[in-house]
Amino acid sequence: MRGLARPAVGEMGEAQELKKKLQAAIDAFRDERIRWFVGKSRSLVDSGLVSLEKMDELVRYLLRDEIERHLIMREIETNGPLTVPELAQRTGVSPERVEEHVKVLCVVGELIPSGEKEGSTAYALRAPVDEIMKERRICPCETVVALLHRLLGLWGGGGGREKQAG
Amino acid sequence: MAGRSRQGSSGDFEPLIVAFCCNWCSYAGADLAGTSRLEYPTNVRIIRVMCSGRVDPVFVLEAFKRGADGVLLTGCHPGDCHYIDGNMKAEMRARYIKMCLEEIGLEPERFRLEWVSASEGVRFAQLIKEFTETVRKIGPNPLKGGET
Repeated sequence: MRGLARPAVGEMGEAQELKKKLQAAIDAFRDERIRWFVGKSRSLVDSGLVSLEKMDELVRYLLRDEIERHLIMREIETNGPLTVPELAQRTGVSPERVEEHVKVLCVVGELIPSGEKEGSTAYALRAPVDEIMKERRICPCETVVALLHRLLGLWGGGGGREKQAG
Repeated sequence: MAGRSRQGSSGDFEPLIVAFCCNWCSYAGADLAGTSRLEYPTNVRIIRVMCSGRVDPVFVLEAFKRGADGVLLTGCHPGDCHYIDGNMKAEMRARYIKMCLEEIGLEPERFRLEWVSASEGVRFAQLIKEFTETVRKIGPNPLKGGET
């Protein structure tokens, strides 16, 4: 069967592993990114802009990405700051893909580097996962706006969200 | 979850199936099966929704997380939706739910979307029998006995 790679046997029970993946899938479907795609897919296919096969391929790719990212985020939320090799071992996702996801999550400001462990950078969540999700839900553009806010220091002072939070 | 799947007296596994039925067609079809005194397995727990398009993929995944062995989504036949195209939206979502189940390693056959009209009581009963047997063959949800 296709699907996400399995973590090393014995690292977690099969049921526990499945439960984590299901939670990640639930998180992914609650996420505005997937919801938008799922909501628009029918009209995009009907309009002839994208074929059904292409749409399936896109959604599968997106789903896989989002499930893996949510797995990573939930793992960090449960265990505190983790390094890329630790995340790869706990989630069963390849280190290359974990690294890619961590980079993306750092760029959008959802993960932040938090010290070092055995020569690798450990990453922590900026806020609890549910809070991050709520923020994404306000508007799909929120992530882009927040990103610009953080990177460019728009609206003066460069502190943006951090300033408000503080 | 109120009812749990169980081992039968002969050791057979009795699956627990959650069925989301649309108010206008499928629920009426289930009702007709009942009033016509048609027999179908008691493994199913019916949840009435106003439209199959109301069923969010999260509902389905949450049912699996809480230990359902199978999830059935039933709606009006294409073109008969009370809300014009709710069932068509459900069809697209069902594709992605199956895709998602495959990705996470749960058998996609545990989830099914079917069209049942208000006059198809016999079909509803047959569908429940068929689906119960399919799920019985697949076996219990590995998450059984987890979160309630």
